[in-house]
Amino acid sequence: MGEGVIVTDKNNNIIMINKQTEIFLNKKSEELLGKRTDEIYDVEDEFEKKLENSEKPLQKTLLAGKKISGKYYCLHNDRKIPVFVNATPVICESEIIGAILLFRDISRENEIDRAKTEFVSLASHQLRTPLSIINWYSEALTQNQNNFSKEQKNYMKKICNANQRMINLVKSLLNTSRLKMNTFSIKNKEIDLVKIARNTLEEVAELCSVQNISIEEKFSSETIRLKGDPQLLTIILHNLLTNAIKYSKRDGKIILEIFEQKTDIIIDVIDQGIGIPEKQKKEIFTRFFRANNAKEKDAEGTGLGLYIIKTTVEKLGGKITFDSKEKKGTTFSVILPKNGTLEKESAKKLI
Amino acid sequence: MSKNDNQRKILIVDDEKDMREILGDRFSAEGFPVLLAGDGKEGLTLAFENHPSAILLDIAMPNMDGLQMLEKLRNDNWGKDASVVLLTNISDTNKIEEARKIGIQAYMLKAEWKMEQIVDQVKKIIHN
Repeated sequence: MGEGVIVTDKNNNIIMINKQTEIFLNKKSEELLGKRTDEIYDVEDEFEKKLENSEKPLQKTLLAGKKISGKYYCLHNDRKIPVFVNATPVICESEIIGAILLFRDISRENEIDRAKTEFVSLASHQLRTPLSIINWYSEALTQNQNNFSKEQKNYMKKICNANQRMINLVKSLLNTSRLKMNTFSIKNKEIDLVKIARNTLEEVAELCSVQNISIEEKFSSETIRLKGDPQLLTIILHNLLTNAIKYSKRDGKIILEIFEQKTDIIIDVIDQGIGIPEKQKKEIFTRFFRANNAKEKDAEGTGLGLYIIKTTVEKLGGKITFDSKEKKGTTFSVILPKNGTLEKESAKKLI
Repeated sequence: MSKNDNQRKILIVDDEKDMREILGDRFSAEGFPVLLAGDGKEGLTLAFENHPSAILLDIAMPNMDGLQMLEKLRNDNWGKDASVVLLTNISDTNKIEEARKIGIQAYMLKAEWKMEQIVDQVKKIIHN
């Protein structure tokens, strides 16, 4: 399908439409010209929240005099169609005299995207079975390796490590696909972040000991309460800490700082590791992206960690920022609202 | 290992032969008599006949899946208090929550645990 075009005057009255719009709205242009767009269809944002007139792309463009683009839903004749929209103001001698709306039906793209992510989710479950079998049989072999030569023991270790890497990759892929599909539940429970942080520190202790890295706790009090999802918070902390450990130097120090600030909770993870190259700072939250020095330090990473952290933080209504200098270290700061986000019940949970 | 463990049977219900066998070997090596079942139907029969001390239960299986077996087990006079560890590679929250509602003692994602840790978990549950 091609693009639909709607041109309006400054009062949002339609003055011109193209053929594609007639087909899309299933109306002749004579029925549409002269009417206001809000008399013809309703608009929802990409999260399917109904929009007030002033929030709709055309009206917003007319009010602000700025270009608006994004995903929306168009509600018309009992149908709801996802569209990608570009709204541009028409400005004549610094006065807004009208607007042009370009839109495209993206139902099919959405469907393909969904099928793709569902496939990843299904495949991840299936992939885990052979991986578990390799895991357990390797465990059985390593348990009884008195007859193994030194070389064979070393080979066994490599098999176990590679398999573990695959298990982690499947887990990250599964989490990524769920974040993309928006099909995980967010619990809004009263929780103690200190408790979660201590559990997570225990989980990463083994990883620390390999590189002799120490993590200093700086918690503003013995209990720091907020409303949130314990599992999602664990994912955030776990990923932040493992990153800090992986990209630290041997014998390095990491600080985990958690404190309250008005209505927010701040989590800082401060390392003295390899840092993020200036030129690549923009890209670090992109899926599968890995900075050059990160690839050098640890060839095994998936490039999903920071993407998962950022998306998860945002699902919890928070924000993530960072400050980094190459070869000096990085500080990641997560800001989470104490009151949490709206509870969302859905099919799958991040594991 | 306490002498008691020798009489404590473990039932492993899993449709993946390679999985139930290696787990079975491990529990045997730890001194537990082991019963193996390839689906929920078989598992239920073995459970009622032998009254095992712990049941390791997979979810996705032919004939009768893990959740159906769990439900039938909990409707039984002996089965309502049996110890069940849900051991599966499914991480779908709905399924896990459903199992928790019917009643399980623990949930473990296969890919995330060593057999050693599974044995420890089962021992802990049995001794409680």
